[in-house]
Amino acid sequence: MAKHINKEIDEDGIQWTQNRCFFCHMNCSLYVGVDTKTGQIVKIEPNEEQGTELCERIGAHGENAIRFHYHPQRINHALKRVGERGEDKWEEIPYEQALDEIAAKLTELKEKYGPETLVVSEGTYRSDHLWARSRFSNLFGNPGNIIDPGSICWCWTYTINLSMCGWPLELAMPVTPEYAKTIVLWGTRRPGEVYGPQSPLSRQFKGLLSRDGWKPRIICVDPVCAGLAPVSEPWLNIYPGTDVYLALTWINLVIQNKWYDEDFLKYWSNAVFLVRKDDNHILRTEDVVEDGNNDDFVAWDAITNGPVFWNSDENRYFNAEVDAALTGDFEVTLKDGTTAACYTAFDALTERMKQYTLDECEKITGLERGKIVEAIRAYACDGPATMVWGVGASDAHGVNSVYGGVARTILRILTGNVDNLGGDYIGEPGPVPVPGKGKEFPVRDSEFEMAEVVTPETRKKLLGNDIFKVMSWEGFEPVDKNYRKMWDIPRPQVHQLLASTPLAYDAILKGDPYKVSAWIAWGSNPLSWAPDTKKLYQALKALDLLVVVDYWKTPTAALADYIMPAADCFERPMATSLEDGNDFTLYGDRAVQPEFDRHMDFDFFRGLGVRLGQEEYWPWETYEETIDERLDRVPDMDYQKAMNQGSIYPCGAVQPDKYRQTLPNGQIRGFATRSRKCELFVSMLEDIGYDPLPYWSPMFESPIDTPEVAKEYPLRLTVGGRWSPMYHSEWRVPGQGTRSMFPWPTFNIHYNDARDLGIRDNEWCWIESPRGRIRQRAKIGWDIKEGCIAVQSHWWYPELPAEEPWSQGIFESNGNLLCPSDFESLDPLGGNWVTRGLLCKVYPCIDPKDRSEKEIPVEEFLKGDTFYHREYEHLGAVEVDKLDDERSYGANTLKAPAEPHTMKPDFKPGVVDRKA
Amino acid sequence: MDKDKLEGCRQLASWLSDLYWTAPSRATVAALEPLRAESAKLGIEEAEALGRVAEGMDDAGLKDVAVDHTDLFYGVKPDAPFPYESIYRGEQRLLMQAPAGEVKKVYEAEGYAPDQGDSREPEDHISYELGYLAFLLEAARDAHERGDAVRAGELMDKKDAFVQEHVLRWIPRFCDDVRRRSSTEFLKLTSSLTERTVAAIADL
Repeated sequence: MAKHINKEIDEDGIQWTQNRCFFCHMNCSLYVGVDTKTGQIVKIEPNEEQGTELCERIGAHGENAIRFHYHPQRINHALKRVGERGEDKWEEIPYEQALDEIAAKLTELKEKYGPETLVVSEGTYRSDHLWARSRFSNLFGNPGNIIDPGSICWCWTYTINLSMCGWPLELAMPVTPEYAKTIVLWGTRRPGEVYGPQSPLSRQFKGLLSRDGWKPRIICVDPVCAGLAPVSEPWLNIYPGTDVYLALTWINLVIQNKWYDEDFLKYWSNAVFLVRKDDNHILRTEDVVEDGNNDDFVAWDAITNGPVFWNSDENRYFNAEVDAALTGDFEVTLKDGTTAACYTAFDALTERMKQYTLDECEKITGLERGKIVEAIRAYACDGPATMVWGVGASDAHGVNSVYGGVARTILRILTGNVDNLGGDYIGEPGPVPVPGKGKEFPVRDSEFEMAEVVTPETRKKLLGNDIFKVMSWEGFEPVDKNYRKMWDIPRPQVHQLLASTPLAYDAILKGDPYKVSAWIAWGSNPLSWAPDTKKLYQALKALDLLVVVDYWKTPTAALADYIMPAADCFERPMATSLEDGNDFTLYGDRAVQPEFDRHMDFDFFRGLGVRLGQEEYWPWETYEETIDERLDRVPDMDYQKAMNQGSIYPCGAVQPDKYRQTLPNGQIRGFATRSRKCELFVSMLEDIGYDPLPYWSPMFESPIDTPEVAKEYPLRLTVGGRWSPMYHSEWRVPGQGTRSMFPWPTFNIHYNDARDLGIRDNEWCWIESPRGRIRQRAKIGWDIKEGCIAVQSHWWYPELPAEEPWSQGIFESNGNLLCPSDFESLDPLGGNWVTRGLLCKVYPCIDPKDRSEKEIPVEEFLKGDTFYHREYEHLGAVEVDKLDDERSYGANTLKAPAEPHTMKPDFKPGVVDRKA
Repeated sequence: MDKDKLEGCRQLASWLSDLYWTAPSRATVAALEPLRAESAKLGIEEAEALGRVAEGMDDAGLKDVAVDHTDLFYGVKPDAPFPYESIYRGEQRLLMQAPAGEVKKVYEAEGYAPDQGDSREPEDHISYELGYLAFLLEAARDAHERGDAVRAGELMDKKDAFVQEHVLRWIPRFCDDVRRRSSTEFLKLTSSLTERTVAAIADL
C-alpha cells in the first residue's frame, strides 16, 4: 500500500508528489511534500514500498536535496556574457530573450558553416529529455554531433552487444543475481561507491552476501582493494588498463580447458558458421550461390557432410535437420568454382586466442597465474554467472576498449551465461509485435527522435563517422535494422551515436574536418570530464557560441556566452527508459513548477526548435503532454496511474531463455542480431571494416609498450574510480553536506611507493603525466597495487573564483587533465579515450628538503635545549620547564608558572610588529 | 499625515523596486530625475548624489552597472548579497524559506499581486517588498485624498507592521553588504538610498 497517492493533500496541507530523484542513475522514487500554503518543498520521504532509502545526496530527511533546490547559488536566471570569455562578467536577461539571441546566432553560424557546425554535449544521463535534444538536432540538420562521457561509460557497449546478443546486456545492476553462483565485478565497486551505500544496487549486493543459505562467489577486478574486493575470491588486483588482456586470456583458457557450453554454442551462437582461413572472413551464402544473401551464413552439416545454409531471416537452417559442426577444417566450393579452406568461427576464435597465454598475461596484468585460472574457472564452471559492467572494465582503456567489450561478451556466449537466471539478461522494450495488433508498451525515446529526417548525406558528416564506426551511423544502421525487425521500433540515437570528444577539439581549433563553431552543453561540464583539459579549454575559448544549461556555474558554464537555468528533478516530470537502454520505464511527477526562471531541458530544446522553424514538430506545449502520448497506446494506463505505479514493465516478470520461445509467426525467437544467433564472431564488425574477433593492442602508455616514457613516468596511473557521495563532477558545491564528507581530492598510493618517494599520508602531491600535472592528497595504504596510483577525476573547486586564472580550480586537481586526446590514444572502433592505464610520476608538493618542521633528536628534548624551547621563551607566553631524566618520556612537560603569566605589555596576539 | 513625505517615499520605493528587479536601463535612470527633488524634501541626499552619477554615465558605464547588478543579485559570485529576506533571516541562507511564505500571506490579504511575467520569483524579493510598501503608501494616499482617514490609518498601521516585521529585519544588512561588494558607485549609492528610504518610510 503506497504511503501517499500522487498529489494527495494531507491533513497538514502538505501535497505529496511521487517524484523521482535524478542525483544518480538509480532514480529512486521519492515522496516530495510541498506546503500548499507557501508552495515550498518542506519534506522529502523515501518511497519505501518501491525500495527507496535516502542517501547522503538527498539527506536522511531530504534536507540536502531541499538545500540543493533552494540554494542561492543555483543558476536561477539566464545570464549573458559581458566582456571576454574567462572574465566571469554577466548580465541577467530574460530567458525568452536569451533563446531569441541563441537561435539567431545558430542561424548565422548554420548559414556560414552548415548545420554540422554545432556540437551538443551532455552528461551521463542527467536528464531524461535526451530525445528532445535528438529531435532538435535532427531537425536542425545536424548529423548527430553529440559528445558525451558515454564514449567511455557504457554507451559504447550498445552497438557491440546489440550486434552480438541483440540487447545491451552489460548492466551495472544484474537482473537476477539471486541465482548467480559467481559474480564478477569488473572495474566497479559494490556496495556503495558508485551510487551510494543506500542505493538499491548496493543493497542488492548486501542482501546477496548476508542472506541465509548459499552465497555467490564474488570476484573483483580492481587495482584498488575497495568495495567487495576484501571478500573477493580472488581479488584480481590488476595493472590498470590491462583488463582486456585478462579477458582474452580467459577466453583462451575456457576454450583450451573445454569449459564452454557446447550446446549453447552449437545451437544458439554463430560459432558453427564457417570462416575462410585465408582472410578470416565469415562465409556468406552470397559467396557460395548466385541467389545467396549477405545476411545468410554457411555451416558444415555433420549429417550430410556438406555445407548447409543458415536462413537468418527465419532463424533456421534451410535444411530441415542439421547437426552443425562446432569445429573442423572444411573445403567449400564457392560460386565462382574455386574452393575455400574454411574452419568454424569457433576455430577462428580458438586460433586467435592461442597467443594470449598465462605467461604473457602474468607479465602484462601483474596477476598471479593461479588467481587468473581460479577466477575464470569459477566463472565458466561455477555458474550461473554474471559479469557486472563497470567503467573500469575497458570503457576508458583507449586502444583496447571496444575489443574488451567484445571479449567479455564472448565469454558470456562461450559459457552460455546469456539470458539465463543468474546470468546476463536480455531485455526487451515490449512484447514482440503480433501482426495486426498494435504495440501496447509505452512509446520509447527512439520513437520521438525523428532520426529518419537525417539524410544519408548528412549522416556521413557526423564527426568520426567513417573513423569510429561502432559509435557512428555506420555501426548504428545495421543494428537498428535488426532491432526494428524484432520489435518494429527504432534503436535510439540517444547515446548509441556519439562523436568522440577529442574530435571536437580539432574541429574547433583547426576546422578539421570542418569548422565546429557552436556548442550547447546541457547537464554537462566537459572541462571536468573530458580528456586533455587544457586543450579543451583552448577549444571552448575559440568558439563563436557556447551555451550552457546547468544548475550551477561550473567551470564550463563560466566560459559560456549564455548560461541557461535548468529545472531540477523536483521541477519536472519524468518518463524514461533510461537512455532507452532498459526494458522498463520509470515515472515520476513534478512536485513544483520550475522556480525563478528555471526551465526544463525539453523547454529549452523546444524553445530553440520553434525559433528555428521546427514549430510543427513540437506539438506538445508541456512535458506532461509528451508523457500522455507515451502512455496513450498502453491499455488501462494513464498519467496518474503511471505516476502512482512508478514503473511499467511491459513484459511483466523477468523471463529467462526468451531466445527459445516460439514467436507468433512460428519462428524460434533467437536474438535480435543479424543472424538471430549470439555472434561471437561479430559479422557486423566485419561488414564495417573491422576485425570481427578481438585482439590486444599495445597500450598508449605502459612500462612494457613505452619503456622510454616509463623512464620518466614510472608509475601506472588510473583515473576515475568512483566514490560516494560524489557523483561524476557533481556534489562538490558547498552547502550540500557532501563536500564536508569528502572535502579534498585524494589519490591512492602503496606504502612502499610512498616510502620510496618520501610521501607522507595526507600530503599534497603533484601527479604528473606528459600532459601536465595536478595535485591531490596522498592516501597511503596497502590496498592499491604496488607501482600504481589511483587518481580521482572531475575535481573542481566552486569556492574559487570563476574568472581566469582561477577558473574554479579546474586545472588544479582534475585527473582528466592527465589524460591524452591524441588520436593514436583513442580506440580505433569507438573513439574511447584512455583514463585507465597511463603513466605518471608523483612527488610531494613541498620538497621534503623544504619541510617546515625540524627534526629534533629526543636527547635534545631531554636536555631542554631545542629550537622549540628557545622560541617559547622568546615569546614569553609560557614557561617551558626543562625535562629531566627522572620524568617519563612523553609526560606533560609544561608546568604552570607560579604566577599567572602575563603577556609582555606590548605583545598583542595576532598583531605582527612589522617594524620589529 | 504628511502627504508630501508620503508621496516622496512612495515614488522612491517604487523606483527602487524597479531597479532591483532588473538592471537599470536608460529609462530607469531617467526616471530618477524627478525623484531628486522629492528626496531632497525628505532630507535624503543620496538621490541627488545618485542623479549626478547617472548624469555622467555613458553606455559603457550603464553596462558596468548591469554587470554589477547581475554580480550582486543573481548568484554569480559566492558571497553575493542575494536580495531575498529568506537569505538574511533564515539560519540556512536558503531561498524561499518561511519569510517568503509570510510576506506572501500579507500581500494576498491586501490584494497586492505584482506582475511576475514568466518568472516565478519568490515574494520576499526586495523588489516585491519595496513594491508592497509603495502599494500601501499609494493606497493610504488615495484613502486620505477621498477623506477616508480611518482607512488611511489602517494602511499606515499595516505599513508599520510590515516595516518592523520584515523590512527592517534584513534590508539594512543587505544594503551594507551591497555597499561592501558593489564595484560601481551607482549601486553603492543605490543601496544607501534604499536604506535611507526605508528609514524614512518607517518614520512616516
